[in-house]
Amino acid sequence: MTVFLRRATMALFLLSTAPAWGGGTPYGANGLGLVVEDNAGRARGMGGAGVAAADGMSMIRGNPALLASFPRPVYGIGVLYNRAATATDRAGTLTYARTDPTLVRFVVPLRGKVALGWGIAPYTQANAQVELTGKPGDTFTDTMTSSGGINVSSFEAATKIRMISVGAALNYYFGSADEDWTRTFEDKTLVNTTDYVRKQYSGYGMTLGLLAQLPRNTTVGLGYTTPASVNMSVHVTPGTQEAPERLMEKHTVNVPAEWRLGIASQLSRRLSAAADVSFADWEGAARTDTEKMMYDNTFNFGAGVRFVPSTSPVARYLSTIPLSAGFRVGNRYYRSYPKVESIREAAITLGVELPFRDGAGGLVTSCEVGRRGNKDKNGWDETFFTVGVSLVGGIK
Amino acid sequence: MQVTVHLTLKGSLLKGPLSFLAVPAAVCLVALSGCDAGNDRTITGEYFNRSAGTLERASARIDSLVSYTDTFEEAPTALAGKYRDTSAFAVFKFAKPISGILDGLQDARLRLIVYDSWTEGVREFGVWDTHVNWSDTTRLAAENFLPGLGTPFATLSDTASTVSTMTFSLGDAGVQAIKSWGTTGAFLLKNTDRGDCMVNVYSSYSNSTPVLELISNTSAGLDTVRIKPVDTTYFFDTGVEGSTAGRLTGVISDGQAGGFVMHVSLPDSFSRFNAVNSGKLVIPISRNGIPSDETMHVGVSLLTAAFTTIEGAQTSTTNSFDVTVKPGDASIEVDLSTIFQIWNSVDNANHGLLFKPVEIASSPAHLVITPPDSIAVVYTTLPEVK
Repeated sequence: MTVFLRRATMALFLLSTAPAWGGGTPYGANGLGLVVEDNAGRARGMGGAGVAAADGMSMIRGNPALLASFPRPVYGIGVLYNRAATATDRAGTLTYARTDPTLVRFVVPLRGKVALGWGIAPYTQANAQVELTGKPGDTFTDTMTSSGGINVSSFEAATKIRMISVGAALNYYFGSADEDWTRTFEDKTLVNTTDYVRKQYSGYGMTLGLLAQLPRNTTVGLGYTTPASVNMSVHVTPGTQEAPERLMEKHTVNVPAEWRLGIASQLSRRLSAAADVSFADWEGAARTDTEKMMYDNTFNFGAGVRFVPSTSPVARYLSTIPLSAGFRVGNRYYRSYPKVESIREAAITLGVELPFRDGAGGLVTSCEVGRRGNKDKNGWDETFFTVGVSLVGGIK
Repeated sequence: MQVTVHLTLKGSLLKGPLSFLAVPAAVCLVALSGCDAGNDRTITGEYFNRSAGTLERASARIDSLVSYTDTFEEAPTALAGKYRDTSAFAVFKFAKPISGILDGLQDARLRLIVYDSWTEGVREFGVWDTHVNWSDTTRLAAENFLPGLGTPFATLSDTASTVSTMTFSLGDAGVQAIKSWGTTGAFLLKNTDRGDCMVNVYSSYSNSTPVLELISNTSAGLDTVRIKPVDTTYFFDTGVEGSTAGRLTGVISDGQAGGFVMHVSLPDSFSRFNAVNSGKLVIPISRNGIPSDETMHVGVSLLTAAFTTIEGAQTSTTNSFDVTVKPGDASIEVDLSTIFQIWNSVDNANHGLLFKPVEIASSPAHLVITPPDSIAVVYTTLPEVK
């Protein structure tokens, strides 16, 4: 038993520290990059459903009212290993994989049933290396490598009044996305150049949350994130890194209003279930003609169940490990290119938790296998596989 | 304060309290685990809805060319003689010997050690008396020295293929001239009318300094005293008419220590965000005055401040080139791509290019160039950012 746990933990550790083997999808560098799902912790193993799970193990920033369910000071950290294989009309399959931190969070319950929290998480990520297609006869190759994205830092407060918890969060969107555009010539008499483009983001928004305890061990959660204008300044270092960086332009990008509604129920002592539905108004956030053409409102639905084999205090440890399963379906916010079509996504999820003694948190792992895109409709499809590891620890 | 963090699993994997330091350690672990973009595998760009910048062409204009010549203060060698179109003469200044030597002065010899020589004809040189009212800044004023030069004290004709030492016996005329010196006196070395050779002799600022041997009859008998010059300079003429005055005609000369500053500008419409891929400057050489079997090294440097004098010129060490030019070469090529990029990217960075001989006073080698009106520049526009 001990050997098994030791090996399992070692495997998780190695997974979390694995080097990046690649990054980027056919659409990963478009728009603001990939939106990172807000489903860290237990929710990820239950199809992403966690906005109403008042157990302190789903670290969803989309509902700050969840803070009130944390019985003690808690910290949470998480990483996500992401691997995908993309099939296009061309021969072969493009495979990438990388590990990214997904969350750092602290929650401190105060007296009077008030809790404060702070968390930081990636909102979008634009990690890709793109080999651009030139015109026929071009004697050079263009490569664009992008990294970074927008992060969101949330200061949260929540309180519980009888059966209802309410919360609010001030979201600070920040970060930078760096792009290196390199032109490499076949003709060695021409100098290869790299333009360094840095897009820096800064802006504020809010999230309001509600968590209501209903009869029969059922909770309902609601989160609303306001749309936010994020200032973006574009800095360019043309040609070579020896050149000074110049501010090219300043404007704003919008992050959309987002609604998230969920329900969670403890069906029995050993079985619970949850479901979430979310909507993000990306089309309302579109600013430029390109964004208006490419942005797609997102609808996502996820549901899952959680089963604890034994709740007996004298049960063996293995029997107390909670298992989760779920699924989620939805679409991505950025349509495919050059075929401008919605990108559908579906996945099944599994979760395994290794609880700490005294219920003071645990190591929450999740696994997701899914498919996104459609070769006929989008020009490509992709099979993805993720493994998430989150550490939720209580502080006495 | 020690905060107990319960990381203990219900089994027996981890037991006991853990320091609160586990939290920042775990944060570091997470941060280090995935921040590196790493070896991102290339994905095809046909699904990417932005395009790279276009490849364009433009012309940079050569605005002006300002020639300069250097002074030869403390140059270790001095040129004298005639070679093809070039001519030179060297002057050596000596302090007047003490009266005890002068009173019994019987003979005098001027010994010069040769560093290099060039000839296509007769190797014949002479030594003349000259005045001492000169300084280095008068070196181009050949008319102050050559007219009315008179008869040389001594001439030396050498048919050897190489000349290593030249010793001139100055004779009675030389002795009388030395006796008539004020506090200083000077000799002038150049080719004779018959001579068609140029030599480069060590100067008073070298370790092989010229020597004036004075044979004097003293109370102890004949004595030879050797004195070294207190100053040396030389005067070099490339033979290029108006070489320093012609706009867009420049001379690079070892012997003259001369070069020029070229001012080049990109079009006003050239965007600050363009990336320069090519900017090759090809300068035709209208006269290649490099002696056979020799090469000339031309230094091309990015000026980092406005040029005033060659001594005070401030240049970039990273953006300097050493161009080797051979006798048969018809042009000089310099890749200015990086320099164009700097001029375009950095405000007020364009102070011009300095062309100068790398080896000063070493030979009669020189180049006369006539740069083109413009330089073709290939550049990439800024990629689509949206």
